[in-house]
Amino acid sequence: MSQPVDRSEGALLEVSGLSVTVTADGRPARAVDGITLHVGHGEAVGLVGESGSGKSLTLRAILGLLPPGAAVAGGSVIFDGYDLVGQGSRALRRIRGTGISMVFQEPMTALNPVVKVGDQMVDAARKRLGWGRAEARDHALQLAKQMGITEPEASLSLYPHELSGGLRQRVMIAAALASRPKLLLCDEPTTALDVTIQAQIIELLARLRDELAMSMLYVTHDLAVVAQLCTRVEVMYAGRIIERGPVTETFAAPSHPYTLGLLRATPDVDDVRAELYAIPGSAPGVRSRPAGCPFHPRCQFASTECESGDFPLRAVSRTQETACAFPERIEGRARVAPDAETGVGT
Amino acid sequence: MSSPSLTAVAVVPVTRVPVRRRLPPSLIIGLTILIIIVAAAVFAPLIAPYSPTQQDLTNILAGPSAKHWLGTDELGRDIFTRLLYGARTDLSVAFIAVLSPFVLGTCLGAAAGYFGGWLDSVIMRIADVVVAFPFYVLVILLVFVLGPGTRSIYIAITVVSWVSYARIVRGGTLVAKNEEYVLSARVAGISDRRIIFRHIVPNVITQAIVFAMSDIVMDILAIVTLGYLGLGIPPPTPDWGSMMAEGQSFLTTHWELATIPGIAVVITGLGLSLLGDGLADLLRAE
Amino acid sequence: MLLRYITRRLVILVPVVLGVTILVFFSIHLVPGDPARSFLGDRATPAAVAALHREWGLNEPIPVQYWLFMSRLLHGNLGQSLFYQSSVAGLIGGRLPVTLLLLLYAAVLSVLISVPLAMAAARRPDGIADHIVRAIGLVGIGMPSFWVGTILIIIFALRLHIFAVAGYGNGLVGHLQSLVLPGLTIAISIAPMLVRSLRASMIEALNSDYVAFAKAKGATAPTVVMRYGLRNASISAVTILGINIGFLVGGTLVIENVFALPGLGSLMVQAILDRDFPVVQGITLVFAVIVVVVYLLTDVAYALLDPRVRLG
Repeated sequence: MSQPVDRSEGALLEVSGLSVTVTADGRPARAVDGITLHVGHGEAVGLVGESGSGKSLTLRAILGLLPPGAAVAGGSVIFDGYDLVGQGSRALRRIRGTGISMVFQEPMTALNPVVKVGDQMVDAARKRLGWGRAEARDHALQLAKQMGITEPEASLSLYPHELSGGLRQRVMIAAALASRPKLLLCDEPTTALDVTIQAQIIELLARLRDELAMSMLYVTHDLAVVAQLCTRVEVMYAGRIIERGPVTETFAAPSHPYTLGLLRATPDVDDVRAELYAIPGSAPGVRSRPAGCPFHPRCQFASTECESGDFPLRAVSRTQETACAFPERIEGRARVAPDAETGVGT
Repeated sequence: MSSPSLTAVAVVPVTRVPVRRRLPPSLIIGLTILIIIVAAAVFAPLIAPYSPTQQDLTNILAGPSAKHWLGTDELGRDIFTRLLYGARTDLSVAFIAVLSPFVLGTCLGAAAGYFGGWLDSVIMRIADVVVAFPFYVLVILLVFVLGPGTRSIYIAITVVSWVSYARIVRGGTLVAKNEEYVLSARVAGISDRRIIFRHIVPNVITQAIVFAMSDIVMDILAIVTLGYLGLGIPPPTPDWGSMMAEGQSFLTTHWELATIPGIAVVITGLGLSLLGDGLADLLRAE
Repeated sequence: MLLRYITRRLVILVPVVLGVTILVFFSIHLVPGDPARSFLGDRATPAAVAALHREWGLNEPIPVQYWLFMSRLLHGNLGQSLFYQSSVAGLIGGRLPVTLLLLLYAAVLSVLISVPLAMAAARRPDGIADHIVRAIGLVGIGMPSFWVGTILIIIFALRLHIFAVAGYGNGLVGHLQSLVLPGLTIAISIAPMLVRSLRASMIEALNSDYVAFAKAKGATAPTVVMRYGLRNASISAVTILGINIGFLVGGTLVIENVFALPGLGSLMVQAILDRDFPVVQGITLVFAVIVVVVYLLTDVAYALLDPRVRLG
């Protein structure tokens, strides 16, 4: 079995072998298949993948907020030394907000449409910390200013539908941070926004990351954002992690054809005339995952060996791991010695 | 499933065939209850030990016994027999009564949804007017005006109930109107009427059928209530409602007269509701 | 702003009200044969019939009749009772308060019964409470309202002697007491429908993203979650209750007869047995107007509760 590299001792969040099953029409399917990852203190980790890869479910599973029909099927989520899996809602409630908090993708649905924005930002924190009305208002104003919300007094008494998309997202982030969590889970918070607003929000998150020394687990399909915000990246495909490593190294020299494809698909601002690349085919649905390497049907480097067998993560350098058996096929990669135990790569 | 093509005159309606290995339990239980009750009603003349109108004034208000399983009423008539014959009356009227609102509502709803425009507005406005009247009020008014008898009941229920079907079918038609198989049929020049009846309606009708189950329950309740108020099926035809009205005078001593027919109504309603829920579950499997 | 909203809704309702009057007016022409003779029955002397023909304008063309009908209506004249020596409007006026009070009782009791049941079911879908509530609903849908009333009478009036068997009682307290069983009956009869709709909208609220986010940011107690879920669900609850007003009103009609309450419902049934058409017609109209008014009030309440509805 491969040894996971870069295991930082005393990580803030350690997810081990986490699996989530989704049940539709009475038949269960594994949407998340044995994920292992960790987030250190003050570290921003990106979780990258297409839709359907299970990345959002992973976040939800961490906080115990899975939608009806989905359930954790195994593994552990250790936060601050405390396993969250299988805990009742009361226990989880203590962690949520103050330990871990989450920002959703679509603020229009995540914010309560009939409650004023200012109230929504601080109501959870207020209940927990026993703030009075005036105190809560002060905190709300403070948060608003910190989030760069313009005209905070006026904005706070508005309803979500009266705000612009960018402002709504700032409100949501403010609400998520109101109780000062140590770890912020982000579920594609900028996907639903304009590009210019996106840039602002990312700037805000970067600033918060530095100012508050906050850890982040940032889920997205946009590699550019990961490059800006995160130090490490985990690449997810078909419910599994298929590559991980530091952002700069991984993006400069990916060790998995899927990551390579993602990189190629990211439009290059500098080269306007280059053709837009798209990975051929589409990601498999939860029930139609192929045998062997899950990516092989779409992989340009695939061979018959890729069609069957197990492909666990293994180290390709001191800091990177990949699930691909033949990373050397990606041009420019040095040949990796075959794994003595499993025989993969022979 | 067919792929629409320009030359295909025989564009196959994309009827959603339920692919379910297991029937929902509610469907099975509901169907069972219903079959028992319907069988009891249909075979009443064979099962019933007495005639429903046969009086025996020497044996009035008797309790349950071997001769009279549920006892006798204030005129010595066997309650069990009257219950069976009451089922016959009430159920047959209800099952027939549900048909014309179904047909009328479906046609109007499909027309409104498909053609839109002023036809849609007019039909929906009329629907709004009908709905402004409480159900029983309008039914009673119509039964009053049209005179007693089952014919008036049918007409009254039709006038009042078509609206729900129309709304359901209209909604489904609005959705189906924009689906590919309809668009390609129109391009192929198939007449509107054919499109509506061969292509749209079969897909939309399932929701209407599920609703019809609960509508039958409503109709049974309406018939029974009319009977109770003295405005329903004229005597001496046995009817659960009038049975309960007659029993009202004996609440202190023989409360079963007024309550047993109601239990029959509840059980019938239960069977129909379960059937409706089961059907809905079955058809939801997509 | 609110006034403009109300005006707009009113404008939409005008054709509906007109349609209602047309339908009610026209019903007399559905009578097979001569309506005057039909309603007068035994008292149908040629003179009486002719008098009615004149009064109701039955010899005029239909549009003229309608015009007569409407102009009388707008003056508050609903015609003369064929049976009592009184104007229809007068009769209705005497009975209206009873019916309205019963409606109020029934509405309040239905909320008190249905909302907790729906909440218990929605908190844990497919849980024990949910199954029980749904089972009760399935059985309840088939229960005739008068049957429920009869059973309540048997239990509470005859066995337990808590309430009177029937009648309206004396004085305000007597009235209020006498309406408990009838109101309860109506509430129980429509509970299955209400609970079904309420449960669905509550489940939707509880599964929504904003509840998930509320949890994610650390909403401490179930109260915050419930407050979110409830506040949002209550908005649709108001609408659901408003939509079902038709059943509430229909319920009063039947129940007044079961409990011998001197309201519009019992008057209507009595009028039918007396073949007193103007009274029946008048009451029908009043009932329809009540329903329409409630629809309007529901819209207004909804607009007040939901900040997303623009009042402009």
